[in-house]
Amino acid sequence: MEIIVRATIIYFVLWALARGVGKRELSEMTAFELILLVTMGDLIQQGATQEDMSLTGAVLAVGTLAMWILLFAYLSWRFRPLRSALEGVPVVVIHHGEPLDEVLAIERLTLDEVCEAARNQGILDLAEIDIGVLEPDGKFSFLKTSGKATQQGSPEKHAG
Amino acid sequence: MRRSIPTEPLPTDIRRQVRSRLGRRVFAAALGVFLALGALGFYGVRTRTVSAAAGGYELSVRYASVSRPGLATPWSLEVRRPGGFPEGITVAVMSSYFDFFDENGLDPAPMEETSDGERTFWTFGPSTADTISVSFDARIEPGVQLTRAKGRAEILAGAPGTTGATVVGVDFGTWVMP
Repeated sequence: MEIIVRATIIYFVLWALARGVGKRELSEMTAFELILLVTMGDLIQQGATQEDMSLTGAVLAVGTLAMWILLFAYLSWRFRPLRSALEGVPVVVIHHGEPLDEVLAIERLTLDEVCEAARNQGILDLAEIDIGVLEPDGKFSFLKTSGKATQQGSPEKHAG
Repeated sequence: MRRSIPTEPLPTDIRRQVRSRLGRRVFAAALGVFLALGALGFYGVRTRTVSAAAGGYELSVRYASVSRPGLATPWSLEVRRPGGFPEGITVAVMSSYFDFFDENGLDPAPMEETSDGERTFWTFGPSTADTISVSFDARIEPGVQLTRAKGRAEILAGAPGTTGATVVGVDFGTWVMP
């Protein structure tokens, strides 16, 4: 029972962490952050299984995390109001070619990052974009004025 | 001339999708049952008590019927005799059972501990109390898995320190989960 409770607490802590760091950080992974992630995994393992060295204990811990993932996915699918709380909401950052400065500031995004994301999609000028969206997973989607949508992966960090 | 390589996916097979969904539901249900059993302590540590009485002695052993490697696993023995133990008492336990444990010791420590290879003999000094309780602080060794550890505890007749006939004994066993 104890191992299930511990794994449950860890799931919610990690979920809060993922929701708390922000969309942009969620999609970015520098080498240092990758090391941090591995270290976190090691620390979490000790907290979840403690001195339990059995295969059964490991499967119980992993199974508990999997169960919460399944449950969150179901709740997110079944109850629309919960979806935004559990997964976050997409945010429009460019409208009719104009960057929305206030939204960019709230999401801690620089214009350079948006421009780079646009360049990655072959967009030379933000004026070509009808709507630019920062998705809940931290990726950008651009809908061009022609109506053709594009999406790109993780934006790189730039000062500015 | 460039070769055409279409990226269009295969047509959707609804029956296959339904079968896939059924598979996922069966998996989720199995996972739920597995975790529910875990929450109920099915995979250990589960404790039991076994008792027997004869010759004026009542012997009880509390042990883990199911445990897992690395976990603290209870084992305690209690002997009752009205009038106490004016000459002390000798308890014999199957040595192989305790080979599965990383032990931190017996509490209280016996006055004398000997072994004949198969059994370990613990001798406790005289006591005016009607009950002698002994507990064993131990964990299952990490390398022990998927094993049934069998044990037996006995009270021996005769003066303490001598390995006389068995007055009363109980059998117990611990199933070590993988």
